[in-house]
Formats: sequence, C-alpha cells, structure tokens
Amino acid sequence: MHIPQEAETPVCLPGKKLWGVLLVGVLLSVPSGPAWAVFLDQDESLRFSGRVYNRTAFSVERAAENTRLQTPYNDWNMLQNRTFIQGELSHDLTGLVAGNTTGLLAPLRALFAPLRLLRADTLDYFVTYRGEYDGVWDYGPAVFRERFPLFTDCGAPTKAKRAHPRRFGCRHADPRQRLRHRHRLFEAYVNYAYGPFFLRVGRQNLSWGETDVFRLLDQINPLDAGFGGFLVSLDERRVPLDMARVVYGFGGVGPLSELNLEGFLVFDDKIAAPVPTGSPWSTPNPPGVTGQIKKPSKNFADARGGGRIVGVWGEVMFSLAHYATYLDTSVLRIVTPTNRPVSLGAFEAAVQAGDTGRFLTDHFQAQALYPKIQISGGSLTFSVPRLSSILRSEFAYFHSEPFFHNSASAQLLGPALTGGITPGYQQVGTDPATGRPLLRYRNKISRSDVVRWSLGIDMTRYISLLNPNESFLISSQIFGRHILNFNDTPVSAVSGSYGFGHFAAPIFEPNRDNQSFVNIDQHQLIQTLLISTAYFSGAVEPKLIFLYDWQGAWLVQPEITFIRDPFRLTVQYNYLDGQYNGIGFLRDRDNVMIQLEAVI
Amino acid sequence: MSCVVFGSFVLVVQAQEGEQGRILEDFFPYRDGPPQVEGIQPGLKIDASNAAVAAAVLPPEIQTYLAAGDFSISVQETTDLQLRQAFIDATLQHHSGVVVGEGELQNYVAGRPFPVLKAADPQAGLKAVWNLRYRDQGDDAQMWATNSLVNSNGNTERSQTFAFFSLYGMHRPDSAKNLPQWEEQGIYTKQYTRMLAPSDSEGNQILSVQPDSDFLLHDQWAYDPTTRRTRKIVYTPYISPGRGVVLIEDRSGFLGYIHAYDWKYLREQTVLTPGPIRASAPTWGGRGNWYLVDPWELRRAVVVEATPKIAHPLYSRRILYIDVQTSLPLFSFTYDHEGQHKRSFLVVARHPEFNPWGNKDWVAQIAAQSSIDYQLERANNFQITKILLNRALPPSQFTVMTLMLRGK
Repeated sequence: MHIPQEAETPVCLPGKKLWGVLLVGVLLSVPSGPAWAVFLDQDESLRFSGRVYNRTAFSVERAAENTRLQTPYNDWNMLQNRTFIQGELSHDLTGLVAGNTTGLLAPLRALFAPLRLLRADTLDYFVTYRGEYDGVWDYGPAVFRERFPLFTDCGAPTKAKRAHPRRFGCRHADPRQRLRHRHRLFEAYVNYAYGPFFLRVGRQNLSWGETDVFRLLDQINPLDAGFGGFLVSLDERRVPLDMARVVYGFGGVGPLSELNLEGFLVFDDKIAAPVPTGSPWSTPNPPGVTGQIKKPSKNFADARGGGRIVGVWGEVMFSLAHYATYLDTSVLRIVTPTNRPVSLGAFEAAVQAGDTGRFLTDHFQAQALYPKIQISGGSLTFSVPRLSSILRSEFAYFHSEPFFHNSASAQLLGPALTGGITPGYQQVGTDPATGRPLLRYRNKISRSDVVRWSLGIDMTRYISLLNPNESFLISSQIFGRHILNFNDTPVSAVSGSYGFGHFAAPIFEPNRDNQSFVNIDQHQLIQTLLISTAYFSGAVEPKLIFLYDWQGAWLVQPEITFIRDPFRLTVQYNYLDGQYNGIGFLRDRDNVMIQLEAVI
Repeated sequence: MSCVVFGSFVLVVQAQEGEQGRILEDFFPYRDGPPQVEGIQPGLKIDASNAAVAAAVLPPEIQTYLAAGDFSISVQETTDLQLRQAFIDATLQHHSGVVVGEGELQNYVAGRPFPVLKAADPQAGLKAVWNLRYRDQGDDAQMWATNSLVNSNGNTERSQTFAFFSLYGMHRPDSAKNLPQWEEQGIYTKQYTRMLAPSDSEGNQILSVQPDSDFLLHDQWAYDPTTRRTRKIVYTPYISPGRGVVLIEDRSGFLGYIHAYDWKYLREQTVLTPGPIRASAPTWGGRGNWYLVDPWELRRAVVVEATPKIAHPLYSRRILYIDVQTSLPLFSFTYDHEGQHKRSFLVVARHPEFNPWGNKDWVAQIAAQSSIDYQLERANNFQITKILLNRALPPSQFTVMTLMLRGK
C-alpha cells in the first residue's frame, strides 16, 4: 500500500503537440449536419444514442517532498489516456404490447401480447454499455507499464529495495490488469407505469438531493474514483446497483400541487472500492500491513434501501428522506486475523531483530470497512424573484458514522516495546511454547452522529463588459459538516500510553515526520463557485470552478470547451493547493486535461 | 314611447351586428379575395434585381437583405387560414367586457380577447400582443422539433432534436374542458420538453409552468441526466438556453413578460410573408441557409413596437408583425442598444391541407422559425417536424413526477 518515494519516468510523448494542432484543425474543418436521434424502427420506439471520447491528462508538478503523497511520475508525464465509449438503447414496448407496432418489429407483437395483462400505461426498457480503456498502462510512463512494487511486506523502503524489489521479497501489485480496460453492461432496467404507480427494476442509478460536486443525501450509488477522483463529473463516476425503485404519485394534496412517494431496495455488493496503489489517482494509503476490503453481501440483511417524499408547494419544492446505505469513505480497521493471535514473545523478538515490517505484514490485516449507516434528511428549493435566482438547501443527518482514531505510529508496537498490554490489544490466551501472552488486536473506531448541510444559489446574469451577447450562469454553494460527538484528544496525550486520540484520516501527517495521522476538524466548511458563459453563439464555452475548503485548501479549475457538432474539445486545468487535509490531500496532483468527444 | 324603445333596440342590435361583422372581418379577411398589391402576383420571383417591387409590403429589415441578395422570394396566392369555429364562437361570446388589467386581463374567458383593434386606442399595441398570447393553439399539442445553429457558410455548428408537449389548462374555447385544478392555481399552460439528441444532452427534461397572470414568474423544473437530479431552475426570458441566437422571449414571435414592455400600435398593413408550408419541414435557403424560402404570400398584419420598461440585456426595441386572421407572429425584429438592427425572426405556419398526422383541427401553431443575428452572422433554424394536436393529454404528464420517472 506504499507509494514510491520518487518519480521514475521521463516524459514520453514526443509529437503530442503536433497531434493536438492537427486535431484542432480537423475539428474545425469537418462539415457537420444536424443532430438527430437514431431511431431503429419505423414507429420510433427503439432509439440508440452514443458518445465516445478520449481524454489525456498530464501532470504539471511533482509531488512535494515532505508528503507521503509523492507521486511516481514527473511533471508533464501522462497520467491518463482514457478512451470511453457509451451506447444507449431505449425501447418503448407500449406499442408492441398494444399490438399497434408496424414495420420490422411487427412480428414480435404476438410475443408481447400476454403483457397486456399488466395493463401498463408505459412499459419500456433501457440498456447502456460502457467501455473504457486507459492507454497510460500500455504506453504511458514506464512506472505505469510495470508492475508496481509493494514494500509493505519487506520492511522499510530503501533505495536498493526500490531498485530491485524482488531481491528483498517485496510483492508486486498489478493495477494495470485491473484498471487498463473495462467493459460493462452499465445500466439495464425495465420501467413499468400504471396510473400513479411506477416501478423500475434492474441495474440503475438513483440520485437524491440538491447539491452539486459534493454529496449529502446523494449517497445511494457508490462512486468510482479510479479514473480522476472528484475531478471527473459525478455521473461518470457513479456505480449502478441492482435495485428496485417504486414511485407513487398522489397528485395534488391539500395545498400541495404535487406529492410523490418514492422508495428503493438494493440487492448488490458493490461499494466504492479504494483506488489501488499504483494508480495515478490513488489517494495516500496507510503503510505497513496487507489490506482487505470488506464488502456487503447480496442478502436482505446487507441490503440498502429507504424512501422519501417529494412535494411541490407553490414555488417551493421539498423532499424528506430516510435510507440505509454504505458510505464511499471506508474506515480503516487494523486487526489480527481470527484464530491467529500474536504471541507477544515472537512480537518482541521480531522487533528486536529489526523485522518489524515483516512481522506486521504476516500477523496483521488492514480492513477497509464499509459500515452500513442510516441517513435522514431533506431538501428545500425555491425561487427568489427579486434576484431572479433559485435557492437550494439540503440537510442530512448521518446516524453513527464511524471514525478512525489518531495514534502515534508506534501504537501498533506497544506490547513489543513495553512488554505489557497496550490500548487496542487484549489477551486471549497464553503461548504454550513460550508462556507469553497471546494477543488479539483491533484499533479503536468510534461512531458519532454527523450533521451535513448545504446552501446554494443559482442565478443567470449578463455581464456586458465580459460578454455582451450571452448570459453568465453563476452557481455557488456552501457545505457544512459537524461531528456531534467529537474526540479531540491530542495525540501527544496518548502517545505515551500507546493509546488512541483525535479523530483522524488514516493518512500519515507529513508535518510530524509521519509519526501520526492527519487530524480532521470537528467543523468543516467548503465553498464552491461555478461561473460559465458562451462566446460565438455557443461555439466556445469557458467555465471556471473554484472550491475552497475553509481548512485551507482549494481547487481552481478553469476549463474551455469548443463545440462543433459532432465534436466537443475540452481543455481543463486543475490547480490544487493548500493545507494537507480534505481536498488538500491531492495538492500535488495538479494536471492539465484535454478531451475530445464525439456525440450522436 | 314604444317607438323610442324599439328604435333604441334596433340601434343596439345594429351596433352589435356591426361589431360582430367587424370581428368576423378579421377572422375571414380574405373572404372577398386575397390582398391585391400592384406588381405582386402569384408566381412572381423577387430577388436583388427587382426587390424594389416589394418595398411597400416587406418590413424594411427584410427588404434590406433581399436587396442585398441574401435570398429571393417566390410569391404564392394568399392562404385562407380559418381558425376553429369554436374559437371564433368563443370570441363572439366572450369578447365584450375584456379589459387590460395589471399584468393580466380582466373578464377574459376564452377566444380572441380583443378582436377589434382601433389605431386610436392607446392600448391597441398591448391588446395586439395579448391577442398573440391567447391565440388558438389547441387544447394540447405534442411536437417533435430540431433547432440548428447555422453559420454564414451554411454549415450547421450545433443541432438539437427534442420533443415538447403543451397542455392548456385555462381559456379553452369550450370552457367545460378547462382543467379545474389548474384554473384554481391560475396556471394557463404547462410545457414538457425532452431532449432527444445529441447524446451529451439527450435525456434532459424541462417542465415549464406559465401562470395566467403575466406578473407571476414562470416556474421551471429540470431533470439533468449528468447529475440524475430533478431540480427547480431559474427562469428568465432573457437567456438563450441553447446558447444560440434566440432568447426564450424570442420564440414564437414573443414569449416574454408582456408587462416588461411598453407596447405601441404602429399600423395595420399588407405584408409579404413566408406562406404556410405543405411539408413536414420548410425549405431553407439564401445566405447561410438562414431563410425560409418556400413561397411567400401577402397577408394582413398588425405591426406593434415594444420598448423595454427597464434595461434589456440585449435589445432596445422590438418590432412585431402579427397576422390579423390567426394572431400568429409573422416577423419580429430586434434592435440593439446602439439602435442597430440585430436580429430578425421569421415565422411560418403549416398549411391546413398538409396533415399526415391525422389532426382533426388546424390551430395557429408555428411550423418553423428562422432567427438570424446579423451581427454574430449566425442563425438558429428551428422547425417542428411532427405535430399531434388535441389528443387529450393527461395533466399527470406535466408534473415533477414525470421528470423523475422519465429520468435515467
């Protein structure tokens, strides 16, 4: 779970600049026709659409020397050359079932006739294929082409181990095999509607809430951070789940012009798997022991589910929701495996012999847990006519969210250093060979209720000085997070007892010589701002996104898109900096991204 | 005494008959034959070489570009576009007593609210635009359309295909068919739009709610497939949703807030205008394929001028040509803050005889609109390629729930 300490590869993209110029030239010279929906049948019930893009990202900085985030590449190395293809097929079966379909599909009418028993107002299905290939693993910097050495099982990383990991018994990770390409039946579901009742069954995405960029109530589908993290749009990162979704519309009720009840139930084991070490998009992982991901099972006990009501009252749209889900952020648990307690004698001997790393790897496991938690909340959105604006608000109460505790890096070694039982350990027996205690270990994880909220405003304005012909869209949000039962014990107060302290992220703190983890704050505020407009009648669309984490980290993301059907060419710069916390964990991932997309 | 009463009664009846005759005159302006203008007859081709022949019947904004050779016109016989009898009957029954109130009409029930416009009436311009607002567009409509941004070389830079459905809850010719809940809430119409292409905007949906009162802001909700959310969004008529050269208020002649403008009646005149098409799509031609080049025809039109009451982000004034017979918009021209002609909007209807979709009625729906920005040298070519009218769409299709359900 280590990240190498030095970047290893030179820039290896001669000729890219020339290719870019050629691409732009081709883009501007290709004549285009009107966009059309591609219907595959005469009755226009079977529709296909698709898009394909290629995105290339280059790092523009090396990692800071004083962080564990040191990335295995230099500035202007390629981080990504992602080719994405998506095809969508939607088929309205209503005509086929009713028997009015003509043309090529007409022979299928008899086959679907029994479905008339369902008396469906609407019956259709939707299928999406997604194919992804990242060429960085094949022709990117050498560090991505090779198997990635893990130093977790061979002691402290040294220059010699980095050069020849196998000589020292270091294992290898091979993220290339996992991340190089992927073909997925991304979504596949059937819709059925009868009167006010609606049912969708199949693999699907479901998003609740009102916020952009960061999610409050929108925690139903996990996110895949494996190809750009939060720098990639939410929708592209969503992981569809096998789910049944039901909506019942009550119509107008009292003062409400509309009231809808919605529920869902998920039988799926997918979670937001951590990005594997070796990926340019991996976040820093704690070192030392072998990791495991504890996934939910596909059974009723592990199912996700819940409900919400959505109503419209005059100009106000509101929702109230409650559901159970698995958060994307895992909590780290270090344990001794079941039935394999640690012999204190052996532990002491290993530490004295300098084989601490090997011992920890052999006797401890890191588990990435995805505890199931309950979330309650609501949203309220209304217009402010005087400002020609929309105000959005959202509130979410996370019940018993788990938190990792800070500790000194030697905490795990407590018994070996003191000869006693330190916090996290318990004696479960005696070693018959040595007569020394047998110990079981489990680090401390606490739970606390957490309140999250967001306020946002959307408005359109003309700023004639900057753009006399088009309006600007301005959208700003502020997010708050408050941990109600917060542990703020300083790590210095517990390090002598080898205990656990402050709530922390399981990432080593570089400013304390990596002797403890990064504390998290009880209260967190993040501000977002988006400004966009268009020039040349929409042919050029600049956009600026700004994120500021009041802990002292920020993202500035200027972007420009050139549009000429069927192409979109986007250039985006991601500038991250600030304190080593929150979005600041990625402060050494500044990059420039170029994406060419074709749509039909 | 009885003679006096009888005489008064006769006068009243004669006055009513006179007014009714005047009303019917506008509904059937070509009953006695098409407009006659010297030098302009069906079959005539007009281009830069003989543009002067049409100077009296073309808006000067159009005449300029015709004379410059931007496009040419062929002339056809005037088409008698008869509205539904139910709409005419509703006009005759309900027109009296309708007055312009604060942002809305008082005593308005159905039909054309102001069937007789008098040039001397200081509110004639305002009344004309209310006639445009409440023209007969049917009880509901399902339309499939494309909107393309075309540059001066005739190349399509961007294009969208979408379906949009409209449902009218109030002021239907047959009041019994109004939607009681919408009437109670003061909702004149709702429109549901779904993008069909291109794929990066496919699946976007918008639900728009237009209150009957012009002073109340429109409501809008949108489903965005990139966030999978249904959300209330800002409505303002001054933005161009497709980032083209058409503001929301530029659609269908004028779709903005009436109360935001001072309206001035300029004149009634015979005008040469794109004639109703007999096809699912119009013929585009001329410079950049910006113009509607199916045959044009002479029609009677009311001309009004709109001046923004408060600073408009783009325009200093708008000239609007409204068809006398149907209240359809024919032309709209906007000027920038320097007084320069900025945009032309040309509108065309569909001929009643072209009806491959089995619609029972012909209503005053537009078939296409050309929106030309001469300063940006681009045009938006909008065309409705299929329309289904009065199919009794249920109000439940025009709800936030619909956005949630039809979302991906």
